[in-house]
Amino acid sequence: MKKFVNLLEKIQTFWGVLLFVVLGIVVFIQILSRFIFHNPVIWSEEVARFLLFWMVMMGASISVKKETHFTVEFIMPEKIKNQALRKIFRLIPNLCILLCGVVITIFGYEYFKMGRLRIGPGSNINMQYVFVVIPIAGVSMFIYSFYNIYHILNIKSLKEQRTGNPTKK
Amino acid sequence: MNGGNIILIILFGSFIFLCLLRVPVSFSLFLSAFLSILIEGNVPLSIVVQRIWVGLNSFPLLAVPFLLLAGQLLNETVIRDYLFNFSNSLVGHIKGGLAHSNIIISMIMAGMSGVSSADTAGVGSVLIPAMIKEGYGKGFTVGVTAASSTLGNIIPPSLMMIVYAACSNLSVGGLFLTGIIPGLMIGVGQMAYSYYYAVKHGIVDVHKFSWQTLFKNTKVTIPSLGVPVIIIGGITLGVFTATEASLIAVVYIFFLSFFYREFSFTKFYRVIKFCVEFSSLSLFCIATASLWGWVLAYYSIPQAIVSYFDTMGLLNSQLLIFSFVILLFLAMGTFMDALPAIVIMYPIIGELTLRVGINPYHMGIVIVLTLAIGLVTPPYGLCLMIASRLAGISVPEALKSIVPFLIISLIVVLIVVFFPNIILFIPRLVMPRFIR
Repeated sequence: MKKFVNLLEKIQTFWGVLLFVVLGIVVFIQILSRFIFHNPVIWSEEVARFLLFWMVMMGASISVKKETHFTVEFIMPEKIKNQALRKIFRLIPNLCILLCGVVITIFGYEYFKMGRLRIGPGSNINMQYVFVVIPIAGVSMFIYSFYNIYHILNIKSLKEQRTGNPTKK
Repeated sequence: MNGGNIILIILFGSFIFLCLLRVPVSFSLFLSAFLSILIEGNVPLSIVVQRIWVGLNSFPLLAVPFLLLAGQLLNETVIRDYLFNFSNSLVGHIKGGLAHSNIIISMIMAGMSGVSSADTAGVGSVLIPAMIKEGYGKGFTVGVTAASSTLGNIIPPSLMMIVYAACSNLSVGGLFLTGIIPGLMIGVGQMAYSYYYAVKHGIVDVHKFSWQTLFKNTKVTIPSLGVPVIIIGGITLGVFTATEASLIAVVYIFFLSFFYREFSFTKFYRVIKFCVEFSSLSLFCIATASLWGWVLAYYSIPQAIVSYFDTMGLLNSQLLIFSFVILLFLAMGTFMDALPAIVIMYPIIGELTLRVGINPYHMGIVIVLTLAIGLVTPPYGLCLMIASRLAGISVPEALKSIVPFLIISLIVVLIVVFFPNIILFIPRLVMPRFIR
């Protein structure tokens, strides 16, 4: 399971980076077409928004595994001495994300099916290609949080706390 | 209205409860909104994913990853060292030279990136060791580095302002321009305090001033100083949108790094990876917050809250409104990230601003300034955490030395509240059509 999860993370990271680079190129084309060719393209803004959506859903899934989503730092698990209690405070967020993953997958899939007849007005892209990322993100959030729960239950002591702060390594 | 009351309790109650249990803010927002819709039962549940999509389907928000990338690239290239030499030769001869350079370089970098935490890491990794060597107290060093980097979100460009503008449909350029004067005021106030500190603690740290070095360093720095000119000039003159301007800044810095022969693929991949992850965190939060805000608006809760304020007589005085807003955002900024705080509270703040008739740009800059203070107050003070880690002291140790800087920022907030005409002067001058 570990191997699979790590592979999935690598793929999603690479895909996110790729989307970001393409995003930069698309916006750059938009600027060039307006200032240099004086013939603005109509699809660029819409495609850029679609790419951003894809990128964010990828990044949000990866961050579930890394447990770096922003939290409210009211209770600090580092300060809790009791190991069992500490474990519980790391399990609760992951359980909630597991639930979110299920909800996002179910309704994301429904929304994806509804997108069949919709087409992006500027770019003629079928909206299914955009909405498909919602169930994908839902499933991967489910997998990552399940993996985290499994991991937390199987280790003896929790030393590192990564939650909530993306700058902590 | 009764249904609205129940929804209000579920929405706020479950959100706060989940947040206290350390469930990430974005997922707490999602779950509490989902729960409210589920219990109320009149709205199709697929709205939850639809609002995530609608919340992200916005061109201005594209500026977030680009601005982040610009800030990260600056820290990874030699441009930072040029800026450091430049600011040192500019103000290094004043007593407390390195502290002044620290503030000046933060102000310049604030004009290039809109992300405070990137500024803290970039400036701090060079200047914190140097300042400790010169005999500054570790606490003061952390304080000046963290506090001056909050200017990154006040002096344009600024992520907070972009998100505020995206929520409220204000002009990004107009909001940017309101940040210039308060940013300069905070910078000057911090320099004055650093001077006082250096005199009081007998820190020498005076570098020789010479026109020759200043001229030499200016010449090297001029290409880099093109970045703020492109961004601020381009946006306010209406040449580019904020998104385009931030991309041009990225391309420009990229080009410079080629020029200085510093480009490498592994570095580039690492930087982009960081930007993808970090900006996704903020943007996903914004997406779920827009779902949450939709539920709020659907049950007319903002109107109900503002009417409640009205019956309490709070709407009669702008001063009361501003004190409420400042206290609210100080509290939120202390415990959570600034961007979701803006998106969550905007439906209510927007309604309040409209009803009382406060200039929306005035309200915007007050909120941004207040949230910037939250970047240096624990427990969730990102800049303070980064700076104290770089100096090797704990956050509580640094807390004492940050207090004077907090007071400076609070004084500036009060000036802005009482004299809106001072800060609205520049935007009125440049964009008279937008800002009255």
